[in-house]
This record gives sequence, C-alpha cells and structure tokens, in this order.
Amino acid sequence: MLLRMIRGVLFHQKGKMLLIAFTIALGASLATGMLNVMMDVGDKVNQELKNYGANIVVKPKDSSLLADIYDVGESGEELNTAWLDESDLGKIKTIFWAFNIVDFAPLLDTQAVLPDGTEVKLNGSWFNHHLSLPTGEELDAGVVGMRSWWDVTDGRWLDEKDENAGLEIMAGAGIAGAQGWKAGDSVELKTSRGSRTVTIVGIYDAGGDEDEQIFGTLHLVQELTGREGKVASVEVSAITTPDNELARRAARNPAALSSRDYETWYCTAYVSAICYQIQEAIPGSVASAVRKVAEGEGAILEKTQLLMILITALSLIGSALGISNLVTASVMERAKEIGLLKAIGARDHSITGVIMTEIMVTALIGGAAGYFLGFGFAQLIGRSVFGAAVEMKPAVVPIVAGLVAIVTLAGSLPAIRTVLRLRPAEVLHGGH
Amino acid sequence: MTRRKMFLRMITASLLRRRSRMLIALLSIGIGATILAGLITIYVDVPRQMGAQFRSFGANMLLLAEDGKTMTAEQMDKALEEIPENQLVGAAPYRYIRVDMTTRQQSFTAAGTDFEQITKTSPYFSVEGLFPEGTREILIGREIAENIGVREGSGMELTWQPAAGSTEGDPSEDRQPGAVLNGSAEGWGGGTVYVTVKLDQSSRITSLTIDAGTQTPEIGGLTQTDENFTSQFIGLSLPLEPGKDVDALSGATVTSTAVVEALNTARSAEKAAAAKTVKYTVTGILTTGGEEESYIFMSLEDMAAITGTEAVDVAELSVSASAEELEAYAERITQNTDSIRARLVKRVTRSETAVLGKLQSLVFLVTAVVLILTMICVSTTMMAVVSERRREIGLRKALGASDGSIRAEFLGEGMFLGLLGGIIGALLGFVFAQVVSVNVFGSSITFQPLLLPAAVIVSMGVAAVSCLRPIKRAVAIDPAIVLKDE
Amino acid sequence: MSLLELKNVSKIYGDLKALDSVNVHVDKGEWVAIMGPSGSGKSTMMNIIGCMDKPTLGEVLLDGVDIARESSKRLTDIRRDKIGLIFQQFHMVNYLTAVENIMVSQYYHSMPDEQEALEALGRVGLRERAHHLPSQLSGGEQQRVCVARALINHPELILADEPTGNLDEANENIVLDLFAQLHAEGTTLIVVTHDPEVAEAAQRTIVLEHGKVAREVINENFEAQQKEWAKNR
Repeated sequence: MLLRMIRGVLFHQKGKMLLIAFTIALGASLATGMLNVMMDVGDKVNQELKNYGANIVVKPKDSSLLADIYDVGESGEELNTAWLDESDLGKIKTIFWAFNIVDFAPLLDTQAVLPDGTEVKLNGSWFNHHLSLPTGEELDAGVVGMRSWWDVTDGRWLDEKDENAGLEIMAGAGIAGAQGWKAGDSVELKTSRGSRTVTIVGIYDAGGDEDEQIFGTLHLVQELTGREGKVASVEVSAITTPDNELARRAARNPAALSSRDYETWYCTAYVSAICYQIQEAIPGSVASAVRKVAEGEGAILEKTQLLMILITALSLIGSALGISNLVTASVMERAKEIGLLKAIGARDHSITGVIMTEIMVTALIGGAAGYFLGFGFAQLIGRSVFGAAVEMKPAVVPIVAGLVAIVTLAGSLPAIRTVLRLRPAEVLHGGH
Repeated sequence: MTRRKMFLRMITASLLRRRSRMLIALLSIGIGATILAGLITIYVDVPRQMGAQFRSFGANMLLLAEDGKTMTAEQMDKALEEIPENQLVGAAPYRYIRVDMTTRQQSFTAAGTDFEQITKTSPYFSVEGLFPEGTREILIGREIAENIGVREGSGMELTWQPAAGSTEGDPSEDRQPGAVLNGSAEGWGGGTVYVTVKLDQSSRITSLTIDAGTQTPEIGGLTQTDENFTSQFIGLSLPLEPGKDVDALSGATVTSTAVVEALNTARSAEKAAAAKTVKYTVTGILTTGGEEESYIFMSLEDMAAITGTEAVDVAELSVSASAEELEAYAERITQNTDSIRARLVKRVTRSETAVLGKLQSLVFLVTAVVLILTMICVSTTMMAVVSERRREIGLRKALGASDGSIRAEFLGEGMFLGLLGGIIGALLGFVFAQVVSVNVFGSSITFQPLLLPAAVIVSMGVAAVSCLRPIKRAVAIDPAIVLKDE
Repeated sequence: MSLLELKNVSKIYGDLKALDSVNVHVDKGEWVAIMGPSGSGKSTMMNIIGCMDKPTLGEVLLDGVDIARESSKRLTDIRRDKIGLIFQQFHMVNYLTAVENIMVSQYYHSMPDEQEALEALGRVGLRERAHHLPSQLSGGEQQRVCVARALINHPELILADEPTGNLDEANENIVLDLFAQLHAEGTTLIVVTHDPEVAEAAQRTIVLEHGKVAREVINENFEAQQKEWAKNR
C-alpha cells in the first residue's frame, strides 16, 4: 500500500521523466555516433589511402636485376632469369587475408622501338581484368584501379572486354606529345621477337615517369617477348594494419616467433603477414612491402585514429557531464516529494529503490532511443565524408550502455542520499 | 539607479544567487562551447598537422632540367627561392649515370645525391648499416647486394665511361692548365709521325710540336718547321679532317695527313684516359621495396670526382603545403627559372588532397552534430528553467511586466550564460586542442587569436536560439493561474 | 466618489457560472472586504478586479474606464499603474533582496529608486532587513515586504487576496495595522478573505455565495476600531 502511494506520488510526473529520457537519449546518441565512427575511421581512411597505389610488390624469387630504362633490350638481352606464372595470380585471393586485397596487377615489360627509332618502355598488365572468385566475390583487377591518379586526357581507358584489346595501347602524355600522337592513331611497335601494329585508345597524364612509357595488355607484351603465360612482377594494394614491434620482429624472421606470437602476427593484417601469405600462395615468389607507401600509410592511419580517439573521448566526457548534471538536478527538484514521503513514514531504502527504478527505466528507454539516433549520426557522417556506410561495431552497445548506467547512477545516488538527509520540515516548507 | 542597471542586476542576481538550474544551463553551454572550440581549432589546424604526416610518402614535386639537359646547384637554389623556407621539408638532387663493376662485367645505375636531404625527402629509406659519410663510400640497393653478394664493409670497384660524342664529363673541364697531349700516326714509308699538342678549355689548339723525323726530310720533314703549315692548326678544335680543315704541305700530303691523324689520336687518348675507375666501400644496404633497390647511391661530390661535374638531372622536393599552393609554386618556378621545369608528383598530391579533405569533412560534421546537440540540450534546460520559474514570471506579470519585458529578461539571461559559457569553453577548448595536438602530432597548435571572440559570439548565439521556445512559453504564462497555484 | 464598479458581471465556463450577474460598488478611500467560502467566486472576482482576467458579460469600470473591453496589453498597463497586489503566498523573487523586490515593482512601473524603496520598507518596519533574501525573512516579514511593494507606485487601489492566510496571529495583527494605516492615509482597500476576523476589520463586507452577492454587511464598529488603532500608534 505504501509502495503504491509512493509510486503514485512519483510516477505522475511523466513530463519530467520524458525530459530526462530525452536528455539521456541525446547524450547516448552522441556517444554511440562517435564511438562507431571512431572504430570504423581506420578502415575508411585505409580505403582512401589505396589511391596511393601498390603497397606490396611480388617478384620471382630467383630474379636477377630487372631491366631498367637505361638497358637496351633490342638485342634480346634477357636480364630476367626467372618469372612468375600468370596462372598463379588468382591464388593471391585465396590467402588468409584475401578480403584485404583490394586490387592487384601483374606487370611484364620490354623495350619497344618506334618507327622513328625512339625506344620506349612497353608495359603489359591487366586493366580491368574480371575475376570471379570461389568465395562469390567479384573483382575487376588491374591498372584502372592501381593507377587511380592517372588523368585520361584524350580517348579512354583500355577495356579488356573489347575484342581488339590485344592490339590496343595507352600512351603517356610525354611520349605522346613527343611523337605527336592522338587517341585513335596507329603505331607499329618492334621488339626483338617481332612487331605489331597497335591502336592508341587513350593518352594518360600520370604526373610521373610513366608519362614517357606506354601500356598494353599482358598478352600483347607476352606475345612480343615470347614469354606466354609469364609475368615479371605483381603489384598488390592491400588494406593493412600499421606495423608495431611484433610486426617488425616477424618481418625480419617469422620463424623466430613463439607459436602464440606467430598466430597473432599471422592473423593480423600486418604488411609483413600479408607478404608472407602471398609468398606461401604463389610458388617461387618473394613479396615485399613498398616501404614508401606502407610506411606512409601506417603513419597517417595511426595519427588519424589517435585524433579520432581524442575527439571521441571529449564527446564522451561531454555527454557524461550533461547526463549526470540533469539527473542530479531532477532528483534535487523532487526534494519536496521525497520529503513528503519521509514525513508520511516511508523508509529510506524503499524510497531510494522506487526512485532508482524509475530513473533506470528512464535511462534504459533514453539510452535505447539514443543508440538508434546515434546510428543515424554515424551513417550520416559515413555517407557524407566517405561515401560509404559506417560499420556498426557490436562492442559499442555495451560501452554506451555501461556509460549511461554509470553516469546515471553517479548522478542520482549521491543526490538521493543528500535529499534523504534533509529534515522533512525543511524540505516541505522551505519552498522556492 | 537607471533601468538598465536594474535590468543587469536582475539578470546577474538570477545567475549568481540561484544555483540549481542556471548552473546546469551554464554547464551545458560550457561543455558545448568547449567541444566546439576544441573541434574548430582542430579543424583549422588539421591540414597543417596532418599534411606534415603525408611527407612520409616522399617527394611531391620534381624539378627537371629543360630538354634533357642538366641543372646546376645555382639554378636549383634559384628555383627553391619560390618556396617558403618553413614549407620546404627537403630538396634532394639526383644525378644518374651508368657504371660498370670492373670485376664482374655487370652494369648498374648509380645515383649521386645529398644524403642529408634524402633522409627528409625519402624518410622511408631503410638502411642496414649506415648512410655514407666520407668520400668513396656508397649505399647499395638490396637487389644489387643480394645479386652480387656484397655486404656492409665490402669494397666495390666501379668504372665510368663517358658515352662517345657526348658532352658529358668533358675531359676539358678538369684538364690541367699546361697539360700536354701526345699522339702518333703512320706516315710516309711506314714511319711514325709524333705530335705534341696543348689544348685550351674549349679543346682548341694553342700550340703544337711536330716530330716528323721518320719522314723525308726535304718533303714530309718540312712539316716540322714550315710555319705556314703549323700556324693553320692554332685555334682549331679537334678532331680535324685532313684536306678539309687544314691544307696539306705541298708535296707532303701523306705526312700532312699523318700529322692530322696523330693530333686526333692525341685527343681520343685523352678521352680514353678520362674513364675513371674508383674503389668504393659499401657502408650500408638499402631496402625500400621499390626501384631504388637496384641502384647504387653515392654523394654528389664523389660523383663529381668521376664525371667532372656537379650538375644534376632532377631534384626531388618534399613540400608541406596545400594542393593550390603547390600548383602555384610549380607554375612560378617553371616561369621564372629559364632552365628548370617544376612538376607535381600526382600520385602523391592527389592522395594527400583526397585524404585530408575527408578528414576535415569528418571533423566538420562532428562539430555540426555537437552544435545541434548542444542547442537542443540548452533549449531543454531553459525550458525546464522557465517551468521552474513559473511563479516568478507570473509575479512579474502581475507587477506589470509586459511581454516584451519578459522576453528581454530571459534573452538577457540566456545571452549572459552564453557569454560566460563561451569564455569558459574557449579556454578549455583551446587547452583540449593543445593536448590533442601535442599527443597526436607532437607539436603545438597555432594559437588563433580570433577564437576567443568567435567562441563567445557563437556561444551567445546558440544560447539565444535555444531560448526562443522557452521564452515563448514564458510569455504565455497566465499570472492568475500561476499565482493561485499551490 | 466611485472608484470601482462592477455592473452585471458574469464569468461563465461552459456550464459553470463562476460569477453570475454581480453588482459591486467601491468608493475611493473605502476599505471593503469580500468574503465567501471556496467556490463562491471570490478568486474569480479578485482576478477580474486585478485586471488579470476578463468577464464574459458585464462592465467593469475602474476609475471610469471599462477594463472589460481592454486588450491584455492594456490591462497589464492599467494594473501596473493603478493597482497594488498582495497575495496569500507572499510571492517574492527568491533571488532578490527585500529592497530589490520592491525595486522590481518600480522598474516595471517607471524608474527604480533605491531611496524610495528603503523608505517604503521603513514604513512597514523592515528598514534593517532591506538587504536580506526572502529565505532569510519570516513569513510575516515577507508579507510586509509585499505590502511595501504594493504601495511603492502609489496605486489607486490595493487588492489583497487572503493576505493573512499564511500568517500567525501576531503577524496577522501587524498586517491589519498596516491596512489601518493605509486607510487612514486615504488608500482604497479591497481585501478578499474567508476569515471573519479579517473581514471585521473592514468598513463593509460583501458576501459571495455560488457566484452571486448574497448580502452586504456594514461594520458598525469601524470608527471605534480606527480610533483605537490611532491611539495605540
């Protein structure tokens, strides 16, 4: 009976409860949104960084020095003594970290001579080579993705699906300018093994060395060099976790790791782990990190995550203060009701119990509403900034729930205790 | 006491003497202002701070000599003047030549550079051992090291041959003044004609002595003494064509031809001697995972010792600036220096712009979300304040306060809160941004003097907007109802 | 001279008639009490006279002006200029001192004047408590501050709603003394009360029942009471 009276007195303030629920919802939504963004930002920025190109390069284990631009290959001098098999390339997508392999492209190059005697480096690769993997994943691998910073200034990208693709090339702006080429022109390329007349389907501006080179399909170069089915190297673009001490130790010598460390390293997407796995998958290969890209990515990712962590921490503190603030105040303003209950004989612990129940129920409703609102915030941020959905990490739920619970408790218990210590007369007559 | 003073006294008394709700409202505004101030400072500073991180990707601008020529240090320095010192992280010059390893019949590319600059423009270089410091010390790429089995501390003998007919490493550049060249050729009757010749810096003959002792004294031998014959050589540059560049001594055609041929051999002998062979010590092995692993690196001074020049082919620059600034610098350099073209490394600049842009957007959106939440929070609190002060409002109205008065009083309180909250927020927010900057980027943020007034104004604005609905409710209070309410 | 006149005033809420064709007349300088149980309509009448509410039917002439026809804004102005209000719950602004509370009334009327406010406090015997907050004053003291506040703008009419309802006897007497003083100075007083003792202090009592004027009672002893009071000053 007393309980019913107590409940009657307290619960009829529905408006005030709604207010508290609302404020808790706001705080919880900020916390949820920020936490989800913080946990996902690493992956998102990583995806952006894939624009830099390959962070891993795969070469045949026994290769001697690759021909570089100064070596004249007209005499058919072969400086490569080892090759990778084109048929092995698909295996890259079968490694443990296959999902992190965003794109890759094989390379095979030779020196070609143009009609006017100029020598130019001819690169053969995939452009938009379609792969249908047993996992169900569909991927277009090749230069189109691996050279995202190229601007096609004339014509178009080479499309492997074209039936004439094998006789098409793309030319760099430098060599095209020197030769007076336009998209649609034909040119004869001569190598030591033969010659082909190809059509220039597009001219690209790479802003680098490749402006002086030309690119064609892998098959074109394989035919012109008599190296059917062979590939000189493979560039790989993978999403990686920045290196730490473990990763560096493993990179030097994986065999020296304890079995637990080995498993941790193998199952984390370190560059060294992915390289190791590629070497396992492709026979006769050695994969190494392109330090320039890998190190740079690592530095940026680390800083970005740290920045987000700090911003999130600030938001969480702000939310916590806001919620506890309001909860304390709402308890204080019910001092009269509490005083009344004490005056009619209710005991401290039953009053506390009922108030806390009410507050916790309110916090639950507010927290749940806030979570969904926070979901909305996170997606808004994800879509606007990265053009992709933010992955909602399940870990966020207990964190936000815990935060709301702790903060609500911390805000209400001391306040209730304070009010209960006041003498009823003081509370009932000391009106504001 | 003026009305204005009374107005201010009522507002401040409300905030200072009544704790409870007002303090809560102040706290809400303060928290919001802190977060906002912190975020805005970070937003403004992100490009500079994060931008510096992108320098670990290496060079984002190249300086190239026009038309395949080379550029000198002075030309490079002049170009670098276009870039502010505090934005230029590093500028590494590069000269590429072909060298042969004498013991192995293998050719490599050698790059002459400035190692101190390289650590800035290519921080991703990983060296097992040490960078070269003294003379005749080199760094070799991992691929070369593995291929030919060279380790730290090994010696390597390298030879450089200038390409035939090229102006590269013209021996005339380090020809000693007064150096004398000798040459010989077969003359009349199988006898050898010898010449001794002095050339100036431009390879022109300054003096010449002919020894035609083996020739017929009265005919070919006269080439030694005939002044008309010998004087025609002075001032001519080698090589020469007999019959074309000089006239033969009459009757002594064969000997005359031999003299010219002898002179030509003197020249090519000098050239052959200009090929340099030097023994180097390997101080370190370089790993990068890129094409640098197939190069040999030496200092520009070492390279000049064998090629005779310190001119370079290209300079890689690492510049910490926005995309627009970089483009402007590149254009200015290309226009203002005759022999140098500046080009941006698109691969690096594009990605940097893309990622930085996204980060800024991210901070901006978070700021906007926080701003909205703060406004809602403050608005809610002020609504509660109005609710709590129902009786006071009713009393004021009963005492004759007009609606406008009530509005002004609440707005005044709200904006005063905004003022206090804004000041607190700006200070705390700055502290927060500083903490972030130091811990994340290891450097201080640039202090924004405009931040304090801006934060206060925004804070007051937010408070004012948040008060609109509460004020509407306050004005609608009916004193009769409220004053009788028990 | 007539100060306040209610002519056939009714206040109707749907089916309920809070006031039903009421006629009341108050002259300048009169001390009138309005009595009645709860629900008799006296609160409603108080609100209408105090310009805080408008009648559904009838005329309300205050100093010749029909306030029943005026806009809310105008009503506020009239209330401010002509009427001084005293409430049962001695409403004060709880974060302003006694003198500041009086200055608030001045503020809305014309100009705050601390000297005048202090003098008003002196007249109710609270000069030394000028800078105390309401929480530091007893109930009786707070009500006296409210009386001072009601007077500060020299209103034509003082309207008091159960002014002694929350006071003990000692304080009640103090307040009634103040009213006697005001009456002696010529202030018109209308006191709404359910307490017969308070009604008996006035010259005339109008009794309300169920929204109508039941009767009027003239206080025969009034002159004697005033003389008594003057003697004891």
